[in-house]
Parts: sequence; C-alpha cells; structure tokens
Amino acid sequence: MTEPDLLLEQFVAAHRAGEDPDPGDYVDRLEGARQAELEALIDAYLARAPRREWDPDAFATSRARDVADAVSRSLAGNAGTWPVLLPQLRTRARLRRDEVVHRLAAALDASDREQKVGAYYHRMEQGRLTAAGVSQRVLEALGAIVGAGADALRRAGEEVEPSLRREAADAVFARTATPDEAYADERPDADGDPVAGTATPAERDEIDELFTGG
Amino acid sequence: MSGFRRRSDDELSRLSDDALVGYIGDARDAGEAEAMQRGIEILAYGLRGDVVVRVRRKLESRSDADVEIVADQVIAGAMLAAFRGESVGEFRALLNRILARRVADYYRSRRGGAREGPLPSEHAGDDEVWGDEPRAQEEISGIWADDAVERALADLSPAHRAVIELRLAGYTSKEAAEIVNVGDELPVGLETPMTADNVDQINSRFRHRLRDLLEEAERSGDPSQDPSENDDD
Repeated sequence: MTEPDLLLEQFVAAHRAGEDPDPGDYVDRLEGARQAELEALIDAYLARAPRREWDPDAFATSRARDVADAVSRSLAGNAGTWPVLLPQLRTRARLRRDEVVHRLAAALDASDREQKVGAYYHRMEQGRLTAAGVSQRVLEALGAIVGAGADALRRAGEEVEPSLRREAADAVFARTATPDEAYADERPDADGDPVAGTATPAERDEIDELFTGG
Repeated sequence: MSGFRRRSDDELSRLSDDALVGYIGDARDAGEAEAMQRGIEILAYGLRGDVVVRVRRKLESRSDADVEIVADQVIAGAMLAAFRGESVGEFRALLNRILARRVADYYRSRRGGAREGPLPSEHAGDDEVWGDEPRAQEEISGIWADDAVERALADLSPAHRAVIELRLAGYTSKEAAEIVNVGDELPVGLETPMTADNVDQINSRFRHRLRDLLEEAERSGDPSQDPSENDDD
C-alpha cells in the first residue's frame, strides 16, 4: 500500500468513527505530488461521505441552525440570499445588528432617523425587502461597514425564484420571520414586521427612497 | 388531501440526500412548514461539518470567519438551487459544483478589483479576524484538485466509474466489488463479476491518471480547468 493510500485509509477510518479528523494532519506528512494526490483524495472522500448523524442538541447550538433558518427565509422572501449573507457579514465584522444600523444611519446622513433605517435593515436580513429597490448608496454604505462589495451584495440579493417564493411564503413566514426584539415596539405591518416601506407617496422621505426607490 | 406523510427525525436521518431534498419539496408543496423546516435542518446539519473542512482546506490560511461564510453560502446555495428543481437526483453533485465555484469566486474577487472586504494589511495586528494576505495566482492551483478527480473519473467506463466512486467514498476494493456485483445483472460492460483484484487494477490506473492531471494542473495553472465553468447554479 502506498503512503497516500495508507494515510487516506487512516483518515477515512477516523471520519467514519465519528471523529473530526483534520486533513492537514495527514496531508502534511507528505510532500510534492503525493501531497497533492492525498489532498485530492481526501476531498473526494468528503465530497461523497454520508451526512453527519443528526444530533438535535448539537444542532441547537450550531451554525447549521442559522443556515437552516436563513434558507427558509430566503425561500419565503424576496431578497435572495441576504438572510444568509447579511448576518454572516456582520458576524465576521464583529458587529451587533444595532451597531450596523447605527453606522448605516450615520453613513446615510440619517442619524436622526436611525429607527427607520433599522426597520429597513431588519427587513433586509429577513428577506422581506425587495433587493432591486435598495439603492447603490445604501449597499455601498452597508458594504463598507460589514466588509463586502456593493456589487456582491447586489448579486446576493437577487431573487431565488419568484414562483417558488410565492408558494413558500405562506407556509414558512409564520415560523421563521419572527420580529426582532429590538424593533418590537414599532408599529407592525401586515406581516408582523416593523413598519417600513408603507409610507404613502406624500409621506415618503429620503429613507424610503434609499431603501425602496432603486 | 395531499397524501404527505410527516416522518420522524430518525427516518429523515436515514434518507439519502436526494430523498431528503425530495421530502422537503413534498412538505413545501403540502404546506407542511414545520416538516419542511425540519428537513432543511437535518440536511444542513448533516452536511455542514464536512463542507467547512473542505472549504478550509481550499482557502487554507484564510480566517475562520471567511471559511464559515463561504461554507454557509455553499450549503444555502445548494439547497436553494435544489428547490429550484435544477438538480433532481443529484444534490451532492450540485453542492460540490457550488463549492468549487464559491471557492473560485473567493479567489477571483481577491485577485481582481472586486474584492469582498479589506485586506489583512488594512487591519494590522488583527490577523485573527482577517487571516493572511491573498496568495499569488500560481498558489491557488490547488483549488482545481477536485476538478482533476472529476476529469479522471470522466475517462472511465460506467462500470469502472462505479467501483472508483465506491473507492473514493471509502469502501475497500473487496466491498466495492461486492456492491457492484449485487443483483441479477452485471453492470453494463462487464461479462464476469468484478473481483477485488479487478478493482485494485482499475483503481491503480485511475490514480495514475489522477497524478498526471494534478501534475498538469500544477505545471500550467490552466484557467480552462476552472471548475466553475459550465456551472449553472
């Protein structure tokens, strides 16, 4: 048995035993072409390996839970993968949502209307604000805060599948689109979210325009 | 009446990826929001650990935060694409294609103008957050290693590919031979049952081809091998 085969066998055995082996511990024992070969073989194994066994307790505290909830929101919303991406970006930036909102309002010269900016941002994270309506200025300001490109944010906000969204909306919103406590004292809209984007034409201000005017 | 039957967590855990995706779709069609959500949870939990490991290897010295973000994008992207009905019967293949594409996008954004975030050097002293500087282009050829596996597989006959897929999935040659011999009919192209020695020989040729492709990729860094090409996620 060749060295890559032996190491691959050891890796697979550890993985099948429910351990969490680090490929680097195996790959780093080789050099050059054999290292690249083992790297490719371990990756090919992991690409085909059975799913991890379901563990509801572990799931409850894992990031998989956030992903699952975000997928549901994306399916039911109209903001593409923003429900997945935006919380991740602010996590990476080590910012709480209220901090993002505070900075975003300041960047938009709207510190006096921070609550309204917050309501709109909440809808962005919930997948409940049509991405096409959000202005480039907002995306550039938000991108600068969370460390992402405005164009990347725009692409991520493209709708998943409009027809599917319509089907899934009724079934999923009731469970997944829980209003954020930070905005619990705001007047809810018809879907139970803090009010935003519901202004009449006469009431619309610059903030409405920035988040819904395109 | 929809005929949808809600399954227990144990039942869902035993379903294949494709069967679980199908169940989630059925739950959605039946308006069974909680059943759909549970299916999504079990699928996400079951896949995420290995996806994180794979992404970490491909991004290598990147920060944990970047790895987590790319991994979550892969899982979410695969699920959302699957629910668009683009991948009936091939969810894992779809996930693997999306993983390759997201990693390629990550590097492309680093070496092009449209980078996703500040460079580490813009956060001096905060390496924990941002990791290392992007590597030179020639250093990223490793991201095409999985493409080399796929290309080597594509050279095989259906019967030979079947046993190599099993070998790649961690089965021994003896187990792989037994699995493909099960049933009344032999796999297409085989006149006699497969033996462990046969599998060893096929695997040896496959590995030789794989080594050639990896060396070729290392030498050329050929963009034509970019795994994101022809990706329609």
